[in-house]
Amino acid sequence: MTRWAMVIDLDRCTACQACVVACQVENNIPPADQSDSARGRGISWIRLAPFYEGEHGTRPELRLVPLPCMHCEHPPCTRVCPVGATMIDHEGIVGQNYARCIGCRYCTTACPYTVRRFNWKLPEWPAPMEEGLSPDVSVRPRGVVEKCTFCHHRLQVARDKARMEGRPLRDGDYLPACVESCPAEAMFFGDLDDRRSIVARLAAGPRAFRLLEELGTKPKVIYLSKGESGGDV
Amino acid sequence: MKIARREFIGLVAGAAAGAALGGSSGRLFSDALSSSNQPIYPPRGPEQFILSVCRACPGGCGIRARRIGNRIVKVEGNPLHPISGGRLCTKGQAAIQALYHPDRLRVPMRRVGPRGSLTSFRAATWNAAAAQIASRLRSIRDEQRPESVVLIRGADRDINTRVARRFLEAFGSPNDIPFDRGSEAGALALYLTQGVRATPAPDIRGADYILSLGSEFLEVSPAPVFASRAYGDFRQTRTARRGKLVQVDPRLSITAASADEWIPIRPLTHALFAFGVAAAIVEEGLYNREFVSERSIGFEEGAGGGLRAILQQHFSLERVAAESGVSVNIILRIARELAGARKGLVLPPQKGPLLGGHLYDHLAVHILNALIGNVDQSGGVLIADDVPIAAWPDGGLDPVATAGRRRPRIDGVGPDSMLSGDIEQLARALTTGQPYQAEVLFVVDADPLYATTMHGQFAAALDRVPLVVAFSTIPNDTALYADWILPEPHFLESWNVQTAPASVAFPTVSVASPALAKPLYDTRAAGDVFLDLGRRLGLEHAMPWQDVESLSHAEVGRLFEARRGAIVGTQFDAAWVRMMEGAGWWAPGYSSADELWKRLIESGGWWDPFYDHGDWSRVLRTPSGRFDFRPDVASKIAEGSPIAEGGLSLILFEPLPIAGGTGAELPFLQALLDPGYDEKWETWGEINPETARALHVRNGALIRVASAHQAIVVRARITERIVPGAIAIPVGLGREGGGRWAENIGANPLRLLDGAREPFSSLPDFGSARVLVSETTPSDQYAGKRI
Repeated sequence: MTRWAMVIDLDRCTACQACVVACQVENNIPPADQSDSARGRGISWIRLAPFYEGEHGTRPELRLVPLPCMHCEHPPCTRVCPVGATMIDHEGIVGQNYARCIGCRYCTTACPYTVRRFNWKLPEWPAPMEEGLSPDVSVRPRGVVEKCTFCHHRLQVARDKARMEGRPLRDGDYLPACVESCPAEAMFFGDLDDRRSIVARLAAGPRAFRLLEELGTKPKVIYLSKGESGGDV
Repeated sequence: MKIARREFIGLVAGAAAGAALGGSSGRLFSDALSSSNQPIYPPRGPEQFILSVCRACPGGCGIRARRIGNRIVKVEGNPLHPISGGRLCTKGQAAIQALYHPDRLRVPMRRVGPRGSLTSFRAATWNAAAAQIASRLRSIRDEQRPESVVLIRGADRDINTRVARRFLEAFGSPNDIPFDRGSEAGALALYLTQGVRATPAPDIRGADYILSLGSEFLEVSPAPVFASRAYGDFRQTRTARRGKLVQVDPRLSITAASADEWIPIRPLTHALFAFGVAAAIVEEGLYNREFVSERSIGFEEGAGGGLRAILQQHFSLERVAAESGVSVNIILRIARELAGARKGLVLPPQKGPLLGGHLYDHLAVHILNALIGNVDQSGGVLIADDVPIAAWPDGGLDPVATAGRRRPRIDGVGPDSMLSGDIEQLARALTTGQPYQAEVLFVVDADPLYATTMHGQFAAALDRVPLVVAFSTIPNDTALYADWILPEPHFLESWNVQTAPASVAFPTVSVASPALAKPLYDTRAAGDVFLDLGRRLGLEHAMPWQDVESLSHAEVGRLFEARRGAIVGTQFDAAWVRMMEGAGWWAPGYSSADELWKRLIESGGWWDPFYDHGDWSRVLRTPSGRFDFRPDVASKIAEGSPIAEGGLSLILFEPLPIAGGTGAELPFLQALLDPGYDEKWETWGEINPETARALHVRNGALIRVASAHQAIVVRARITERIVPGAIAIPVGLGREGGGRWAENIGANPLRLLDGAREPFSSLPDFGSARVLVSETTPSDQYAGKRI
C-alpha cells in the first residue's frame, strides 16, 4: 500500500511563506484584490497559522505553522458531504470533485483544521495573466469548495515518467509544489508505508507530532517540533 | 539529452491534464468560467525547462522556468544552482505574476504632462526615444560637459548594470551612483576594521550558535534563499549538533519567532549591548587570545588605552543593563554562551535592502566577532573572492571623457568617502546646481524616489533635470517623475549574466537565456539601449558588442580565461572541486570558451566553491596588516548619544514579500505581509499594549503617525511583539507607481524622515526619529494612505 504524507520540520521552517505562493502559482489560484482579501475571501491552500504562547504581559512567543490540508486517514469532511464531492482515494489523498460540489460548505465547517476554501466569485485573471495558468490543474467555478490536493497532478506525471523509464516510482519522484520550493528545506514528502522513505523515518522520530491528534482524524501531515535534535534521520 | 527526455514527458503531462483530481468537468478552461468573458485556453506545445536567474531581488537564485508552447506556467529553483539549491522564495515564485502583469509597460512612454502620474505619458517609438536621448547626449559631449550625465543604479549585479556603467565611463562621466542601502553599513564596518571594501559574508551554515542583534537574516538577507537553506542546516543536520539562535531586538519579528529566545531590548541600544557582551567576554577571559595577540591591533593599546581599557571603564554590565533594558544576568549568560560555543557568530542589525542599519551597530558587532576569533573562519565572517568577470578590460577614454572623469562626483562621494553613493546629497546637488548642473539622469534597476529619506526634495530635484530616463517593467515611483520611461523585458524574457551578492562567500556566475522565446511586448533590455546609445555617439571602441547576448558570450569567454572554478553541480561535484583546488589543481570539465558557454546554458551557472580560510593577506588589508579593534569607535559609543524625549521611537522594518520597495505590485505578495497578524494589503503600526493604553489607541483603529516633518495614517496593531515606547511600521507599501495593486495602497513610513544622518558615517539615520501617535476619527477614510 501507499500512503502519501508530508513532514514539516518546524525547527527548520522560517515562516517565509514561499510554500503559499508556490502552491497558488501551481494550482491556478486567481489573484485576490484588496477588497476580497479584506473579507477573507482570498484563497490559499496552504497558509501560515500563528499561535501566540505566553501569559498576557509577559514576553510572548510566536509560533508560525504551515497549514495545508492534513489529508486525514479519517477525514471529517468526506463524511458530511451530501453529494459525495469529496473523497479519500486508495492512496490516502483527500480530493475534491468540483463538478459534483454544490457549495453547501458542510465540509468547510466540519474540517477542524480550517483548510477548505469556498469560491465566492468567478475566478478572474486580468489579461494577460491567464497565460500563466498551468494546464495540469483545472480552474474552479463560483460556488464550489476547493482545497490542497497534495499536487496530485504531479503524481500522475511522476508515475508516467517512471513507467516510461521502466522503473518503479522512487522516493522523491513525486513532490508537491510547496515541498519543492521550501527554501529552508523544511518540508518532506513521500510514502508513509515505505519504511525506507524519508517521511517514514522522520515520522517515527522523537520530534514527530500531529495537529489535534485527540480528534482521531489521523492526519498525514506530520510536524517535527522545535528544539533539540533527536537524530531523526 | 536531459531536456529531450523532459520534452517527451511534457507531452505526457499535457495528456494528463484534465484527468487531475477534481478536474472531472472536463472543461478545464471553459469560457463559462471566466468572468471577463475572455475564453481561457490552455497552453499548447511541448514542455521545456529553461534555466535562468531570478532578478526579483539581487539574491541571484538560479531558476528553472517551465515553458509550455510559448507560455511560462511555473518557475522553480534550479536544483544544481549553489545559491537556490532548487528552492525559491515568495518573490521568485510570484515572478510569473510580474511577467504577465496587466500593468506592464508595452512601449516607450514620453511625458507630456506634469510629473508624478502615468496619465501624463504618451506612447512613443523606440526610434524617437533613442534619437531624442542621443541628440541630447551628443550636444552635452559637444559642450564638453560629460560629467553632467548621472546614473543611479541598483544593487543588482547583472549584465545591464555593467553595460550602463561602461557607457557612463566611455561617455566621460564620473557619476555612477550605486544605490545599495542594504549593504553600505556592513561594508563600511569591514573597511574600517579590515581595510577591505567588500560586504561581509557570515557563514550561517558553519555556525552552531547565532547571536542576532536584530538581524532579519531569515527574511531579508541579501540572498534570502541561500540564507534560509543555510539556516535549515544550522538547525538540523545529521552530523552537527543543533544550532541555537538568540534574537536581541525591540521587535518580535519573523526571524525572532524562529529563534530559540527573543530578548527584547530598548531601541538604538544594539551597539551598547554588543559592547556589554564584549566586556563580559574580556572580563572573564573568554576571548580568542591567539587572534587578538597575533592578528589585531587596538586591543591593549591605542586611543583611550585600547579596547580592553575602554570596555572595562565604560561598559560595565550595570550600565549596559540600565540603558538597554536587558538584565545583567542575561547579558552575562549570552556572553558565556557565545564565547563557549564551538562556532559562535554575531549578526548585525540589518533590516532589509533599504534599511542596512547603522555603522556603529555593524562595527560593534564586527568587533565582537573578532574578539571571539570569527574573522575568516568557518562559522565566522568571510569575504567573498572577486568574481573573474566583475571588472571589464579597459575600454579607453577619449580626451573629452578623460577630462570629464576627472571632475568630482555630483553626490560628493570621492575615493575616500564612507559611502558608495549618496542620493540625498544628489538631490541637493540637483536642486542647487552645485558643484555643477546635471543635464541627464538615468535610473536603472532602482527606485530612489520611493526609498529616499527626503521625498519632497528629491521629487522637486527631478524637476530640475532637463532629461530623466527611467527603465522599468511596471513603472515604479521614480519612473512616474521621469521624462522617458523605457520598458524593460521581464527577466524571463532576457539574456543575463549575473554574479552572486557578496553575502555569498563563493564567487558565482549565473547565465540566463530567455525563458520566453518571444518577448510579450516591444521592450529592450537596458544593456541593449546603452549599447545602441554608444553606437549613436561613436563610443564603440569601449563597447563594441552588438547586443547583450553577444556580450554574454564575451563575458563567459573571460570566465574561461580565469582558469578556475567549475560548472555548478551536485554536492559531490562541489566536494571534488574543493579538494582539487585545495591541492592546487584545476580540472574544469570544459576545454574551450564555447564549451563552457554550452554547459552554462545547460546547467545555469559557474562557481568556485573553494574558500581559503585564514588567507590573511587577502582579508586583512589595514596598514598594519592586522585587524583594527578601533578603540576610537568604542570610546565614541561609550559617550552614548542623547536619546530624544517625547513621542515614540520609530522602528522600521521590511517584510520579505515587499522588501526593497518592490513586490507590492503583485497581489500574491500583498496578501502575505505578516503571517503573525494575518496582515495584508495595508500598512500597520505595532504598539505595545502599555503604550497604547497611555495613548488611548485601540487595536485596529486608524492612527495618525506624525513626525516633525510629515504624517501618515496606518492601522494600529496592539501587540506584545514590540517593546513599550516605540511604534514599528513596515516599509514597502505606499507606492505611487507599481500598477493597480500597489498604487496608493498603504503608507510609506520613509516619508516621516527628514534626511537626518548618522554623524560619523553620514549614512541615512533610520533609527532615531520620534513620532507622535494618535487615533484618528472613525470617519477617516484614508486608511493607510498618505495625507
